Amino acid sequence: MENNHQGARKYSSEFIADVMASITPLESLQVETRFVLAGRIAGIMDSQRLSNKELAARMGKNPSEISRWLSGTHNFTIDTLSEIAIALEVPVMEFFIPSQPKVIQDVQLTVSSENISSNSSSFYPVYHI
Amino acid sequence: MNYEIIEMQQLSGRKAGIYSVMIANDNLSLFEHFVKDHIGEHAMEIRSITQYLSYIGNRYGMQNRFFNVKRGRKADSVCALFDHPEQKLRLYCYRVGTVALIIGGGTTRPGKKGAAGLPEKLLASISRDISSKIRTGDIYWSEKEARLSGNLIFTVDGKQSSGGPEIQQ
Repeated sequence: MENNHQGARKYSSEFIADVMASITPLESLQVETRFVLAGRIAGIMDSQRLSNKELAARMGKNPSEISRWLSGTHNFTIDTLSEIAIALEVPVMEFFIPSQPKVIQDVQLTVSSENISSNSSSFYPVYHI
Repeated sequence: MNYEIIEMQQLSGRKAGIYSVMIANDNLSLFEHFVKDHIGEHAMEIRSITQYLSYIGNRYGMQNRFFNVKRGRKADSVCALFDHPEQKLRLYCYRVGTVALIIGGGTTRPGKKGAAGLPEKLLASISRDISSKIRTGDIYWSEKEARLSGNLIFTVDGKQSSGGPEIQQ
């Protein structure tokens, strides 16, 4: 092993390439759906500032079960999603809708012309002599 | 033990760098050995894990919810990825900050095959070496390249080993 470079050597694995190529469209969609659902549930929990423990308490579950759901590996049933929706007080459909970008700051500017006398002038021409 | 940290190109992405470990004189990384050892019996789960890792690297980043952080001693920070009762495999990994994930080997989950603790101990030893180099500044996170930088080759001669008992592959 040469010790003459900075940073990790980039390594392309034929082994991993073969595994990735063998993933069927169905498997790929199943994994993606699990990730998306887990991400949406985690996002709603974050927006409500709800911990795993608190959601578990609401649902009468063990917190480890909530962790498993949020890991992105769980195969949710419609019944489980309905249970979670009730606990989070959101419609089930909310889990399938992409989250909206957060508005960090909403600034409203208002310009009013009230109480300005008719002979007042805000701008005067400037003459350079 | 001489080894280097390598970047897994097929898994790394803009959200996180995914790395594994190549032991000297070996032609497969620890993660590839894990895949090779389990692809026969647990093909579907291996394919899922590979896709999960690619998602972490490219789309989701290293969120806490993906990891079972109770694994390993607190000092070595080794944790398990997607370690749940409904899974048959357990993959050990080491998180460097929030953007670099080093994946080692793994085992079948206890109760399935009587998993040995070797991959976890090996990665724990490696995590100590990496932590030591991070402390001395030999390894750091490069914001510009969004990658783990520095000297990622570890040699016993270079006194970069943890000094613990040599772990045989």
